[in-house]
Amino acid sequence: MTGARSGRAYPVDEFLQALTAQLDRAQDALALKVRGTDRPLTWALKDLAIDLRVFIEITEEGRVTWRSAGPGEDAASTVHLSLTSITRPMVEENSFKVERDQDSRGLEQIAQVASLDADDQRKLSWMGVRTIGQLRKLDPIAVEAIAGIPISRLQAALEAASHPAVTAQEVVERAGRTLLAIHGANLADGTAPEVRLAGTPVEVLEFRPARLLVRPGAQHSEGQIEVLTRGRRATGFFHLPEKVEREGHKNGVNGASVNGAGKEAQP
Amino acid sequence: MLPFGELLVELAGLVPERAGSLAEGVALHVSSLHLTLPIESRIGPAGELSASLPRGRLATGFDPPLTAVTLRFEVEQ
Repeated sequence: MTGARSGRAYPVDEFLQALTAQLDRAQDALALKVRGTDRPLTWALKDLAIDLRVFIEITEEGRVTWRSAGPGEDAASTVHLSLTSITRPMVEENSFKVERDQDSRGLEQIAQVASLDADDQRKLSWMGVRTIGQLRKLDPIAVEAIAGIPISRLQAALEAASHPAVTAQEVVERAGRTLLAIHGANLADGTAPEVRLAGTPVEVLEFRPARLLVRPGAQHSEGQIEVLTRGRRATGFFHLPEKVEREGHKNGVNGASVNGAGKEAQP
Repeated sequence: MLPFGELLVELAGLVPERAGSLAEGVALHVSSLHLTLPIESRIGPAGELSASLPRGRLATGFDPPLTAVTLRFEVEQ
């Protein structure tokens, strides 16, 4: 199956995504042609089958790649792809709703703490588990049986996933006041957490597990964010626009709205 | 070579969707189109698939191997 490495090998999953995007654009172009010519009918591509002559390779990381056969490369494999059109309800029924994910952090964010190595993450990805929210829904016993990831590692991952974490901050202008939105995970659990900016407690206006909204004091410009919830502590870093800029915001001046380069707080 | 999607649009555009008219005494509407044809295809550096119809009736050793594509279009209102 493996041929000469004369061309660029491309990951199969990314190729299929690129092909799907091309077919979407083709369908749009067919519809556009009709609208442009006032014809009442249009072609819709229902089924497609294509044979690709490729060399299939597996990288050291376990990714399957393929590259097109060139002139004279008769030993290439033939991959037969069949695609059929699907309707929007079918897509919605079978796809994962990212916006409903309770914790959309990627698995890599807890991998180090949870001792999930790259092999474990790849196995979980094959099972369709890419976020911590999805990981939490798994039964560790079933995962060990199916993917061979030890229960102890999964339990450690779930434990790490339950810790509060600050991932980002955002300046919010509301009714002429500069507020700070703190994004993360497990930041609240039914009761308002204690939040300190640069060591000073601040008022928590809104609290959800993935987002807090707090009111910074007049003295706050930058410093450490501390969130204390359920006896656990998460930290990050905040930076607010200068006072003059804050006034500028109120007057409609286009100031820094999302913390510039420092918006990604380090937990 | 064209992006594969553009080739599909070109192929669909080659076939008229209707012929004749009531004034001419008969009107035909095409309801579906099945195509099976050889193509040259290549996966580009960004993963995009490019394709074209064969360059001629005779293949030379300098041409990439031909592959086959089967398409089914249906006419929709």
